[in-house]
Amino acid sequence: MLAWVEVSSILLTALSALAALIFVLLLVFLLIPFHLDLEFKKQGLTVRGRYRISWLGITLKKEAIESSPAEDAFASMLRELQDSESGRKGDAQAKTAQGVVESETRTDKMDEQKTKKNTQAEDAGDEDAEDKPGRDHALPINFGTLLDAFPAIIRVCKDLLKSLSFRKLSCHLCFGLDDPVDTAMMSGYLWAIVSALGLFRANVLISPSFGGIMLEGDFVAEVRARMLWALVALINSLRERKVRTLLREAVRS
Amino acid sequence: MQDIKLPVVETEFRVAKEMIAGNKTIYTVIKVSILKAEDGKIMGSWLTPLAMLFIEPGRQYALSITGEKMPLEMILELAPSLKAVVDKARGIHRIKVT
Repeated sequence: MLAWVEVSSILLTALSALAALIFVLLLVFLLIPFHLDLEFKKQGLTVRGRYRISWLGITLKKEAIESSPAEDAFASMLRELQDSESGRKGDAQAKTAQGVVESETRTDKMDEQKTKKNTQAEDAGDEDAEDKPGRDHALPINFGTLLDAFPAIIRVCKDLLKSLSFRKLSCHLCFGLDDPVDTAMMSGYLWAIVSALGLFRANVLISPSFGGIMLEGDFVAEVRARMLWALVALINSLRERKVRTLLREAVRS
Repeated sequence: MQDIKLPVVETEFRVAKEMIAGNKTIYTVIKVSILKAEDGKIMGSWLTPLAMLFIEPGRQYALSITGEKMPLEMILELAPSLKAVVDKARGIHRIKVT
């Protein structure tokens, strides 16, 4: 009987020691910050970059990124958008111009188009609906719930930002859109964001280029993230009923 | 004593994206002024509309922003890149005879 009591007390001591060890490790994990080094550079069509995540001087993840010079995702994306828009407008214009001359044949064509559309809808079903520009994309969550939770999300973001401390931040960006007016407006928005985030003291330089579509620049950042404040922010957010509702909806969808 | 250098203002003429109103296509010629620091950094920019080019099926005409009519040649001289735009627009309005 005495031996059994001794064994149980040793077991209890071992368990409590293990719990204390886990607690200390958790505390260390939460208090000692993670280091994130980011470096990206885009010049011409080449994108070079690297990132490194380290903790306690130990590199956890490190990777270098280099895109193929043949593809320029940003420019090609903008061009595709522009082409599709101009194509649509061009079609509309051509239709209006032709409309005066071909007013008699118009009704016949419309009938043909209608019959074509009907047959396509029957054949393709959903594929035809996807091509429509004004198609409503179903959101995974209710917009009203998102709007309700928006102030809480902002608070969470602010709390999460508190857990980050920028050791080094440098951003040089030279960009241009297909329209000089859009370029000027976008540069205004970007400068406003920079000012709102309080990054005006950092080495942030945004230069608009009115010559056409382009994106060049470099971004260097050294960030320290302390998990304790991130965890506190997450727990605080989960205490909010609106955030919980939003998460529940997202999980269900 | 260190020399104080004034910023430079660079000016260029650009054509904004077209606007479509009914069967009219409107192109705006804009004067883009860029304020540059001594080291080439852009400190600010401002855009001033100068003229508008109207393209309708069968005719093209230009108006200055003050409302005065101006010859098409003058507007093309301001923004040579507009020539390609005009040609393209003319192509769109060409009536196809089948």
